[in-house]
Amino acid sequence: MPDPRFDNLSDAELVEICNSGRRRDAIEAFDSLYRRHRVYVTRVALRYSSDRDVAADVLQDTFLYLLKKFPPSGAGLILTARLRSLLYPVARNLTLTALRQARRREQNADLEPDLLPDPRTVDPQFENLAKAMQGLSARHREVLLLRFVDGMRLNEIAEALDVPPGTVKSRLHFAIRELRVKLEIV
Amino acid sequence: MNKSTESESTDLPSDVVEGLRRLDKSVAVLTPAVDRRVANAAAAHFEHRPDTVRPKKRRWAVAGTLAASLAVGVFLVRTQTDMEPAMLANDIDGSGVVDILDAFALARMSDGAASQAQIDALIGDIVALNGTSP
Repeated sequence: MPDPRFDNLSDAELVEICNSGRRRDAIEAFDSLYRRHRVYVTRVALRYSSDRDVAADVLQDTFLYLLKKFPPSGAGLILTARLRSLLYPVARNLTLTALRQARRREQNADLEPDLLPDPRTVDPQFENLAKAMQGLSARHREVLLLRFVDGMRLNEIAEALDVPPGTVKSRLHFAIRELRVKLEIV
Repeated sequence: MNKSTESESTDLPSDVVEGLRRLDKSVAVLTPAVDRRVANAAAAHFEHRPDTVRPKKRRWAVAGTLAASLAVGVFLVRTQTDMEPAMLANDIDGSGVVDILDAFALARMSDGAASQAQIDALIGDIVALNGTSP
């Protein structure tokens, strides 16, 4: 049974307990981090692959990766931005690796990451938007989702994608412009 | 879709932003199996850390503790002291245990008013209660 007192702590405080807290506290703190971010990590995986089994594996492996950052196996984690900026690239790269492995297995060189919603689940009200997003490049879709859905700031997106803030700014500018054109927004 | 409601802060109309959020919410692949595996991995990972020492209660000690508490209570009332038990004083979140959460609770409650010395003193108490170094 999770200890609800840990739910009131910030990510930075939970990370601190995972870094140097006692056994029971560290386990509870890590559990809180997991429960707090598991939906987000799953959503990131599903942006790149519609395979739900892949998403479940990515969820597990992302948190195992995070776990190894803490002593005794890791030196500890210092949060310089939101935890999501760290979780995003891990989940993204694990999903892309899984896709590459699937591609090798299926010998299909054209398989590309989706970054798109499952067409069967699209609300008719947002069909035009879904089509417009489909017409954007994967990079532009990615930066739009990070900015407007995940609510990340430019420097957080830069950290998540491991690119300079200027690159994020430029990608975002062109992505917004292209989306506006496709949606015929004046 | 209404395209006239411009959101200045995001540079995209608010209904487009809302649409992007809705499109992204085709989730729910969470399974108890993954939850369990992650929880087991965490338990194994932190296994060798020292644990918080919580006093074990023994039945024979309960009656003795109650009697002692009563005696101390009577003594305090009679002597009119305003002394408080040290453990209760530092049990900021009222959990019955003085632990690391109390340090965070103190820092948050005082909204920066608690000095680092006060927090360090509390952490010192936690260590002393546990009988081990952090």
